[in-house]
Amino acid sequence: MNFLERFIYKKEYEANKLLVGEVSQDLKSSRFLLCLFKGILIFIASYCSVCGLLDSFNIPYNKPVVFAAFLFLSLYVAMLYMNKVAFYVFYIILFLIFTIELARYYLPANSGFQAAMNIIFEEYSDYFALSAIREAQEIVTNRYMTVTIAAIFIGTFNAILLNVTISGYMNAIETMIVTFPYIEIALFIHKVPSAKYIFGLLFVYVCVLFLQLSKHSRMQVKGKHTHEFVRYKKKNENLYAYQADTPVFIHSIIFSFVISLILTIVLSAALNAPISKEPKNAIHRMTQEYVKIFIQSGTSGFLDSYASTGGLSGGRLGGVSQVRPDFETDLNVTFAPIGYDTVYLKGYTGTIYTRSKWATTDYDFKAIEKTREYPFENEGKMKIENIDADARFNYIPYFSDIDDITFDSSTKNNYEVTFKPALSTKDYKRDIEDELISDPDYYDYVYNYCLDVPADVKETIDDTLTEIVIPSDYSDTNEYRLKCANAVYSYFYDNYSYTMAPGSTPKRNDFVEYFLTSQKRGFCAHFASATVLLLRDMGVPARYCEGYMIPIDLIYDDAVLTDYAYDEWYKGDTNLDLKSVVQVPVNDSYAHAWVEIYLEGYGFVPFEATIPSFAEDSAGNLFNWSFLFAALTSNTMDFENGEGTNNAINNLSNFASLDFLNVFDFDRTTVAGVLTLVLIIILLTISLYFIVKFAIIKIRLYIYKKKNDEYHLVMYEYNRLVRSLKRKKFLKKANPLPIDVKEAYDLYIAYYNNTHKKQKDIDTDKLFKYYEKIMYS
Amino acid sequence: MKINILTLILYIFSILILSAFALIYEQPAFLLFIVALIVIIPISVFIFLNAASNFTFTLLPASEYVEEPNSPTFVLGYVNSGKLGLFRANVEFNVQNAYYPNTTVQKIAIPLSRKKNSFRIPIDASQIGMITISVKKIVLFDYLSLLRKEVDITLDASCLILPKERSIGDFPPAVPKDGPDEFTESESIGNISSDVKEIREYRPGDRLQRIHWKLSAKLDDLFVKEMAYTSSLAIILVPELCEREIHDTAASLLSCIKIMYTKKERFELCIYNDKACDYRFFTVTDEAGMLEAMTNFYCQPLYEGRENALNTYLNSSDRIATVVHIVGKKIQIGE
Repeated sequence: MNFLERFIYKKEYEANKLLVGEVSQDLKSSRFLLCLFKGILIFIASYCSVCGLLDSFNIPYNKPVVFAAFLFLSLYVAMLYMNKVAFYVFYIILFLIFTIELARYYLPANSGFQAAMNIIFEEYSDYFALSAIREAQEIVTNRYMTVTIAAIFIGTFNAILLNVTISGYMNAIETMIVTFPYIEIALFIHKVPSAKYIFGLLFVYVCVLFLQLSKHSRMQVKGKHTHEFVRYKKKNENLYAYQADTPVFIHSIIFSFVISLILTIVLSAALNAPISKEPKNAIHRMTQEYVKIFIQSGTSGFLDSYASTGGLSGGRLGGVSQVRPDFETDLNVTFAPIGYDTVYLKGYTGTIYTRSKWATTDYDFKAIEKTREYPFENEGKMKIENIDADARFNYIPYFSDIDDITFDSSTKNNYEVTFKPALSTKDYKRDIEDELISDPDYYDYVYNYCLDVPADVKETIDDTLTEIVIPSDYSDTNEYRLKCANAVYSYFYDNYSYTMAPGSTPKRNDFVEYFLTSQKRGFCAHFASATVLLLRDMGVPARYCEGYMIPIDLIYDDAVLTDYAYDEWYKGDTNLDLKSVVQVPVNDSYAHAWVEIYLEGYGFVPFEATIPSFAEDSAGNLFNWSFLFAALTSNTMDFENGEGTNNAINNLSNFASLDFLNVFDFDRTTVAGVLTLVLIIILLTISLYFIVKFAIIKIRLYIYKKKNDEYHLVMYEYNRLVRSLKRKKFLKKANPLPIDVKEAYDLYIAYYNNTHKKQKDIDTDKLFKYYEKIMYS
Repeated sequence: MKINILTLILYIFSILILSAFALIYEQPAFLLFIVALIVIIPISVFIFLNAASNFTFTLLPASEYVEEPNSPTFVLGYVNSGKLGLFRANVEFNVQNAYYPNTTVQKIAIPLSRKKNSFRIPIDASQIGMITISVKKIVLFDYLSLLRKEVDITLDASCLILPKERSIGDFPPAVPKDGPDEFTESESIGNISSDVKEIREYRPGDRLQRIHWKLSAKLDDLFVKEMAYTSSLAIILVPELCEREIHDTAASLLSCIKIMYTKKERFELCIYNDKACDYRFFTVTDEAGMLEAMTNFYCQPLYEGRENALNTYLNSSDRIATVVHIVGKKIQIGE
């Protein structure tokens, strides 16, 4: 009985002087057979889950290779239980090989994973009729090969997990948790895998359940202190359970096989029963919504504090990690397009910046702005049908007469508005007198509120301004302001990047400050907010706007020609050949945030602050730590331009020449890095183990001293002496009696005194009498 | 036959959870798993009903006694007369040293999946005494642990832990004084007592009482009588069951007994019961007698005093004998 058990059974030991020892049985179970059975269960569970998923979605992979790899890995991990030394040595070897190979085959493995995800997402997209989905980047395009490699890595990972749930704990629920999600991915959208995979999983679950409930399925790793029976204490009972038993395994496997086979054959028709796509209850509906969010936005979509579509969130900032449009039509806009410039439909105007919001002012600037007379000679009409846009706002084009909004008699969601569209920004160059600014309140609004930069963020804005080339020509105020805006835009264009998923701003951080100093990437709300504050710091009155944009691409791609007479909808010049009234479906991916700059004579005019997106070039960097996480979070789709970033493939067209399949030709720096890291982790773990062990001993001794527990103190000293003598080879018996220890100690002292000048004078008789007295008292 | 309510509830709960998932998410494939969970219940129960009555159990000690520091081992065996085995049975038993009664329940879970098998249960004992293992109940379970059948069975087995013999010097002791003893009394009736088995020459070490003085005088050489153990005794061993020194007392007693019966000395062992204030005599002539005597010695209650047995014996017995009083390592010889 070891120290720990003696401690656990202290009461019994002291009171009864009796304990049940190491129970054994005459007909022993074969460890090899037990490991083999467990290996087979691991293999079936692992193979049927992963390959069941791949087959359900018809994802191509090399079946014999995957079969052989899964079988080998499953048996490998299961056989580790044969011996304690093998367990620790070969587990570490497996982890090392797994890590190194993952580093080496990162690109194909990641591409295979992404390929599988893309195929699954496509199927989900079709099932849910989603307009668009995330499309992950596949750097290596040979899906047959990459999926095979990815499947082997996932299979290894799965085998290791299943080795814990089956070989270690033999727990049916845990086994199900590890394997069933793979199949459920397919089953959720009613894609039923082949019956053999369902049969395999059913067989494993039933078999593991039998074994779990038999209580004779667990097996300790064979080592010095391996027990055939495991012992544990429960209140006033001492329990002993015989561990793994071969006949129990054989019977369980036979029963499970027969039951599963019969059930799979009998119920195979039910598996393929047609199911309606429409959820019939709220939980299913809600789950489907979450699945859609995941398909479109990934896991980070669940972390957002409010819904944000295309950056349109009523001035709120920083609460979302990414924008996630559902690509459903929000507005149907009918008008006569006249130029190539983007048409902006403004819904919300933010003037006062706080750290997480663009707020409105109490001052009613709309009342005075509606009186402005625009110098443009053209006049148009626009009909807006709000289908799914935020109903709090009216989305109207620039240079509109807001008093001239005609709402539909039946619903306020549909309205018509007249406006004087500018043909292009050149129109702003005409000098006209600004009559509205003479109003002191409006002047105060423009040159006080719209130039305000909060003190919290002022320092960051000033620092950023030092990097921007500010135009020196002040002669033309409007031109200067436009040049300032363009300078800011250029600065962002050169130094920042656009992404739909920049991550959310930490709660304690200022939205713009975090964007300018740390994040350096973002979507329209980031660029618009930062541009407004930078322009204000440069002395340009500016404010923040949200609404929808209608770029010329959208008109050309999606607009529907109407039968309306062109003349009734637009009077004036046009830059387009298209002279028709069109109806444009504007979906929420065109929801947008932009900047308004105050131009004298024209009032606040829109300025596009958001830079276009570019695909990130990750070629030439075979291993990057961020890659480890990229597989799960990679989302570089440019929704606004409707272009995927699969163009990175072009940059890596010569990837095949990298010859990454050569086993001995790997990136030494990478492997060295991984090995160093693994070594550091191992050393840290070992150090931590010894520190904790040392601390426990010290604490225990302290408690003994505090309690005057002479028995345990003496036992500690005695055991230490025994260990020391064994280490020095003076004591060779495995379980020595105190008399043996005394003899060995005498020998040691004699040896010591012969070899050292300083003599040890210890009365061993007295010492061991004392030991014996305490130990047997 | 009883139902394990908790396991059944958990089992039904699992089926309900799966069913809820299947219904909420309209997953027909779940049906397979639900049906499997339901189908294996009657299969398990059927096998259980057929197999549960086919088992017979035995419990034996691996050896009658062990010498310290060895520990006793008991062998629990089963034989299955049927074709189907069971995966699980709980054996409830109690292990105790007769000197230190305790009520701790020990449970051992074993598989009954073979035709026959036996489990060796060693007992870690740091004290001498009689170790008794009593199996009180064996509970058989079905494959899913939903049903259980308690087999009322009483299996007992005991094993003695004998102390190590120790050197006790010249034993048995010489009678303190020469003179008439129980032998002369018997001789006075006839020439040679019927107790005398044979006459042989004197060998150094023979007790003076054994010398056949008359014959020795006649033949001018010393002859001793080899006695048959049929009549009155010469020595009575009176061990004290003093709790503090029980180990040493047992070691001394065992050493005395072994020397005595090896030398074929006639003696009796007086084992005292402090609760009943009574004692019982044992004549030991071989190992079996020694084990019987030690078993009885191990079954008596321990007490604090150091002379309880001796006083009770002296006050109540009128036998004329050499009394050897054994307390701890002390072996005191008196009349």
